Amino acid sequence: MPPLTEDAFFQTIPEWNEQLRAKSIRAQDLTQAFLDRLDRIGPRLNAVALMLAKDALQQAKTVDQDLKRDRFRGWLQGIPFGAKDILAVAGRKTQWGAPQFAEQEFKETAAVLRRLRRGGAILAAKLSMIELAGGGGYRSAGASVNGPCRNPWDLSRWAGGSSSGSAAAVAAGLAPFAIGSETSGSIITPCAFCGVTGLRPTYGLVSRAGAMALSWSMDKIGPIGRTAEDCGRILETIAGGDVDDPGSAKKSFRFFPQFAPKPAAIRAGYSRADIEQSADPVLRPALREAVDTFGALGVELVEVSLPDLPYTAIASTIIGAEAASVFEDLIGDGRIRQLIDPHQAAGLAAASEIRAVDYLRACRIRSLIRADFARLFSKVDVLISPACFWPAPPLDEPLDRAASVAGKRPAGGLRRLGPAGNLAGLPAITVPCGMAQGLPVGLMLVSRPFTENQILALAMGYQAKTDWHKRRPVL
Amino acid sequence: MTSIRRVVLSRRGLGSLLIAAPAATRASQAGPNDPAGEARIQLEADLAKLRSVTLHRSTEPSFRFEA
Repeated sequence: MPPLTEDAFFQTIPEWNEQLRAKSIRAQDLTQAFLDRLDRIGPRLNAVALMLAKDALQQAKTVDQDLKRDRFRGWLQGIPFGAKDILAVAGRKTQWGAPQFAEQEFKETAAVLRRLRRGGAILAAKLSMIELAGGGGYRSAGASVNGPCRNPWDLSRWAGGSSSGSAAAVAAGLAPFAIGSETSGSIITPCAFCGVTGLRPTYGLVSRAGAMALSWSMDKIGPIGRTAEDCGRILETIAGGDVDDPGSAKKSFRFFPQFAPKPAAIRAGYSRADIEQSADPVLRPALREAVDTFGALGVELVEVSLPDLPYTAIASTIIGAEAASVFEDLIGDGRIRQLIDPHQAAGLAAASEIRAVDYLRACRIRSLIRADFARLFSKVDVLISPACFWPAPPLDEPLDRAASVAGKRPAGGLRRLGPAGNLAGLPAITVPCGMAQGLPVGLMLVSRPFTENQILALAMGYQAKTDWHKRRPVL
Repeated sequence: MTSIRRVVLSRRGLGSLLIAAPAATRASQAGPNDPAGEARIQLEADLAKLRSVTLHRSTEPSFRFEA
């Protein structure tokens, strides 16, 4: 097979699927090409936690035998991918981004990776992440055993976290798609920073069995791809009930965007203040244009705002208390101090002091938030807001700096939709919607629980009218 | 949706906020040399914000999203 062109590394899942089914490319050759690229570019980005070349090529050989006999197993068959190192692979290192777990291995492979394997997708590499998914509150891009993950658009900038390597790898064409996880912002933020499409599914739709627990009541696993359609194809493969995940909603997902309401039938809630006041000024032109594009698609835009509640504090309390319980042993014996970012260790240690009554208060306020969203979604179908309110920060800048600057701007509208949506377990998708000072800008769509087809279809409609998702960095 | 609906500043809530404001200032001034102190101050500030929200006795906790 001749070497893949640079363009080819940025093909979508349907494009790869067509070539593999037509036997114009072999899964083994495709896998080898992506392994070479991961090897060549991955270290420059600090995006790779563990190469799985031997396993991947062995699986690719089996997939090729299936394809040769026209045994088709779905859209992802023969396509290599990467997975956040929060997911276990039997007999291989799973570091969770933390020095304490540098040599950790599990006997079982995570459920989501088993589902992908059954669908014929080929795991090529584990991808880097912020240590312990950032549960203690990190301040440094370097809070990872793999080093600071660099943004493919500007190597002096951060890729975002905690699914850093997953977003960076897709943006750089190191993998056609990747799996990430989100407790509060860990898929949406890096995807927005890196200019790729990322989906946070409804809580409970994708099994977390075999994934590191950070916050049992908020952890979600989701796909990162080039397009909304890619994310829908991946979600269809990874979603489904699982008795091994106590949080499983025991629901499956069928990707039928064609049956979702058309844009002209959709009422979308948004807040002009999010763009004109809360967002960093450099992002505003892209965000304005994106919202206008949804209007041009026929979406009815109506002004909405979230009730004034301390969403970030509620999320921090719930995540902190649950994470302190998950890592009680590390906090108790002092190993927590081995974390790279001292703020993470201190945050988890402090969270272990949260009283039961305060945790319960946070969970009771979460009930109010869920009821608020139910009322809001009786008036609108979808919420639209900036995926992130500032561009990817420089690697050497404290991560709370941009948040601190943004915190001085007005915080009404849907400014806190990130933590609020995570507290309520709502699905969200981010799509690239422009560039600002050479860095991607993302727009987020959020909808009712288990209405992923709605936001996927709307995002597909947006991507049919724009080409921001086709832009790629020069590496 | 109406905003500023549930943040009712009871005497206790107002007190918590008044405590929270200087706490946040202290956190920003603590610098990188005292992560433990900063974390405790941040936690106090978060809890003060939670306590400023009025809850009815009948409001039950939501432990995770129930379909």
